[in-house]
Order: sequence, then C-alpha cells, then structure tokens
Amino acid sequence: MISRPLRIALLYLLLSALWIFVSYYLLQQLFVGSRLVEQLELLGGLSFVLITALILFLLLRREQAAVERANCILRERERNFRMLTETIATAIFLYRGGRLCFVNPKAIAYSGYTREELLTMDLWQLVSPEYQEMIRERSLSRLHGAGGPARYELKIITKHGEERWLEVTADSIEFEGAPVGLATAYDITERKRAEQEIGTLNGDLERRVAERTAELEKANAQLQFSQASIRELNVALQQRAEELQASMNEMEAFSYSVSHDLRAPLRAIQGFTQALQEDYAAQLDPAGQDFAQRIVAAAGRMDILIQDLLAYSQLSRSELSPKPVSLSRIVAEATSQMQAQITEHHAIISVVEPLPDVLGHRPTLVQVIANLLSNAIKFVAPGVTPQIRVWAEAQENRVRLWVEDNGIGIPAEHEERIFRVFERLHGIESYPGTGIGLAIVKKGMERMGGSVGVASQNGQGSRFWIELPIQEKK
Amino acid sequence: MMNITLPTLLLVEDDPNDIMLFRRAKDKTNLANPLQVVEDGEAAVAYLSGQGQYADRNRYPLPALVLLDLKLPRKSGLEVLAWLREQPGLRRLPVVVMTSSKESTDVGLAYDLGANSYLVKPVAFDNLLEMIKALGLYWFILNEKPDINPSIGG
Repeated sequence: MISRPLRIALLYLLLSALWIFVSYYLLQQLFVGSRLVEQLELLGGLSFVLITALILFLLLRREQAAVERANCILRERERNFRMLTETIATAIFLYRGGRLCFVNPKAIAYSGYTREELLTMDLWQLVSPEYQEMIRERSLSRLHGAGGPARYELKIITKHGEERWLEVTADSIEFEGAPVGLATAYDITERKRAEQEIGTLNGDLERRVAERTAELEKANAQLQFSQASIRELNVALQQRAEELQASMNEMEAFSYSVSHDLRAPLRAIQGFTQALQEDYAAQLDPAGQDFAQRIVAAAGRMDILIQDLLAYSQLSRSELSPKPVSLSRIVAEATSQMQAQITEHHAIISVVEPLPDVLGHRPTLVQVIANLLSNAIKFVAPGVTPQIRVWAEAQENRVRLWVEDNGIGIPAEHEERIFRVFERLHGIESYPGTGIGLAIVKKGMERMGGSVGVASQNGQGSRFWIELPIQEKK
Repeated sequence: MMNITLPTLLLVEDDPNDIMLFRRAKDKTNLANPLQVVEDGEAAVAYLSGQGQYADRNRYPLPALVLLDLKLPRKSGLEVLAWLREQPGLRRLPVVVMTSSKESTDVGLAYDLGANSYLVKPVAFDNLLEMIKALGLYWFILNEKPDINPSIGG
C-alpha cells in the first residue's frame, strides 16, 4: 500500500514534528522566562540533527547490505545458468525475430562458427538448403505463438561445409522480458550414418535374399522339370514292366505249349513205332527192327529232355516261399522217389541222422536232393557199387548238407561248367542224361536263397554240398 | 449182349493219334467196356446232356467214367468239368482228367472244379498200357459207382 521510502519519510516527519513541539512545550513550562531556554533550544535542535543523521546512516547502510546480497544471489544464478548452458551436451539456440541472440558452446561446436559470427546470423542460415524455407516459416510462426513444441530431425551445414544431422526440439519461451524461439539440438550424425548403413545393409540383404530367392525359384523350376522327367521315366518303366510281364506271360504260355503240344507227337512216334514193331515184325528185317528201336529210344530221351526243361523253367517262374522244413524228411522223400534207380544199381545210401531243420521250399528241395542222389548213383565207374553218404553241418545261421559219393569225380577245371544248362562231361552212351539236372539244382538253390558247390577230385568221388538258412529251434 | 451190360467209357480227346493209341492200348489190355469218343468240349457237353445226335441213349449211353483231356477245341476240358459239376443229375459222374501237362496250376484247378483224378499221358506206349490196365481195374471193378440220374433237374 504505502511504499517503504514513503513510510520512512512520513515516520521521520511525525517524529521530528513531535520532537519540536514536545521540546518547545517542556522548555516553556520548566524554564519560564529564563535565558537558559534559548541555549537549551539550540542544544535540542543540534541533538535532533545528530539523532536523525545517525538514523539516516543506519538505514542507508542496511539498504546497501540488502542490495549487495541481492547482487550476490544474482551473480550466483548467472554463473549457474552459464555453467548449465556451457556444460550441457545439448546445443541451445535462442533467436529473436530470426536472428540468433544466444548460443551455448555446444551450439558453437556443432555449427563450426564463432559466437560472434553466430550472433549476426539468422537461424535458418545454418540449415541445409532443402530445409531452409521450412525452418524459416516454422520458426517465425512459432514466435507469433503458433504451434507447441515440436521435434524433428534436420541437416545443417557447418562453417566448413560439412553436413551434420541434428535432432531438434523447438519451443518458444520468455527471455529477457521478451518472447524468443528456443531450439535445443543434439548430434545424431552417427546414428543417421548407422541407420543409413543399416539401410544399405538391409538393401543389400534384401537384394541378396531376392537373388537367392530367384536362384531357388530357378532350382525349383529345374527340380519340377526333373520331377516331370522322373514321372516320364516312371511311365516308361511302368510300360517296360508291363511289356516284361506280357513277355513273361507269353513265355509261360510257350512253356505250357512245350509241355502239352510237343509231347503229343512224341507219343505218336513212340506208340506207332511200337505198333509197327509188334504188328509188322514179320515184314521188318533186323536192321529195320534196330531202326524202330532207335526211334523209340530217341523219343523217350526227348520226353525226358522236355520234362527237365519244363522243371527248370518252372523253377525260374514260380514263387518259392521258404518255410521251415525237416531235412530228414526231405532226404527220406527224395530217397523214396529214387527207389527204382537205387534198386537197379544196388546203391547204398547212408544218412547221418539227425539232420537239422532248414528254411526252404519242400518240393524244390526234394527235387534238388533227388537230382544229387541220381547223379551220385549214375556217375560211377563200371562195376562199382554206388555208395553215398549224406550228412549235415551247422555253420552259424546256415546249414550245409553234404552228398558224398564214390563215383568218377569231376576234374577241378569243370566244377563251374557242370552247373550250366545242357553241360555234359560224358557222352550219352557212357552216362545218359539231359545235362539239366545240376542246372536245376543250382537254380532251385538260388531261388530259395541258398547256394550249391562241389569239392571233388577226379577219380576219387565227389562231394556236393547245398546250403540253406537254418530254422532256429523254438 | 455183353457190351450192353458193361458200363460205357467216354473219352474226350481231340488228337486222332492219341485216340488211335488209346483204342489200341484198350484192346491190348482186354478192357471190354464200350468206348465212346468225342473230339471237342461242346461235343462232350452235347453227349453228356443227351442233345442232338446224342439223344439216343441206346446208341450213346450215359458213361460210367469220363476221361477228359484239358486242351480241347471250342470248349476247354476245365469248362466241360465246371459245367458237368453244375448239372444236378450228372454232378456225381466220375471224371478222370488225362492230359499232357502237369502244370501245377492245371492240376490245382482241375481238383478245385471237382476232378476225381488227374493223370498225365505217358509218352511210352508200354506205360500207357499199364495206365489203362490200372484205370479199368480201379474205376470199373474196385470203385463203387454212384447213382446217376440224368432226369433230375433236366
């Protein structure tokens, strides 16, 4: 309400007026008519001046101390402000109108200009040309109160012509009693470069991915192409298999015909030749009788040949699923089939029992063993009684069955040949046969997953063996 | 008069040589049963069902045994067999398959269709003689013949 100087002046007026009046009244009452009054009045005036001078002194001194204290605080604050603006990692630009009016050291460092140069420049002169117009408009409109604080990234050009990216926060504040524009900024050049590098790397990566994708697509296309060719091949293979099956069927029909139709004329040849021998014996001289006999014998041989060939081809065609079989029973069955031949040649067959069980196809195995026994009986030197020994030995998971004879043996150089179709080591006259018996043995053993072999010395008999998987005892 | 009382043997065979040899073997073995021969599958069916020229059962009596070749013109032996086993009046008729082949599929099929026996024609004539001797002994003397009534079921 009333200012302090006025209060002091009014108080002084009141006190000094009161002083004058009171001192005058007291002197009038105490020293009426005395000469002393005038001297006392002078003394009173002087002491008043003295007291007021003292008060004035005290008051002024107090005022001065207050001012001193305020100045001190102000200086402290200014120092703090400067320290803040100078040590802060952010650049600070203040501009009034467009002209810069305050910059901190970081701002100087960023721009490369000196403080004095900066304070003569407009804010947008720092900015890269493509941003200048935008910054000019924004900063001016901001000074007129448009828009709140904003943050954006922009590129400046330093005094030395370098580009530098800053992230800028713009606002308007009061400074020294007037509105100014405030821009704080920090350097994001490194970040920008990293981003750019990442961008480049990304681009590179994308390009490589695209390249790789293209390669993959190409490979895929090739794969599809090969798949198509594989399908084509499959179709061709299928076709080939069908053709093969067709020719197999044809082969089967062929061997059926061989079996059925080739034997019919044979029956006629043999039957009618025999009829000739019986009914027309009188008309035939001994040479004619001999011819007729030869016809009968040849027809008989051809019949055996056809039967053997059929047995051989049937082995190749039919499925021989192996089952557990007893070798003892198989050998017994084969022996009984051979009974006529055994009796005829007085052959002695000794079987070393017991024989193990094996995995095989029963009828085929009987045929194989019968053929081996037949050979053992047949191929002996004239006048020798065939003696045959049959035994088995287990070898890990297989069984080897031996058929040993006392026959003429097989020269070592022929041991391979004898298992081929139509291979014969002896003339028909000495040892009759079709040359198919051992081929049937070999084919049969192979079809059952077994094997066959011979150990022989010429003139010392033969030892044939067959081998099959063992049937484990349960 | 004797051949009227003896049961007839029907041979179904297309090979004239085989027919001749069979006749000869039959004569040699003194098998006295009358022999009738048809040369294809359809003729066999006609004979057995008494149709056409075979309607006269005095001339063509119903056989007591059929010897059936498998490979025949017009109708195969297996077809004849299958047909026969479906005829209610004839299905008991004994049939002996006699053929060149001993293919296991043929053997199995023949038995499946109801063949009573399966023989392979021997090549040697002596063996044929043996076989026909055994055949006559077994089927006409030892074997007990079933009742055959062709009028059942037409």
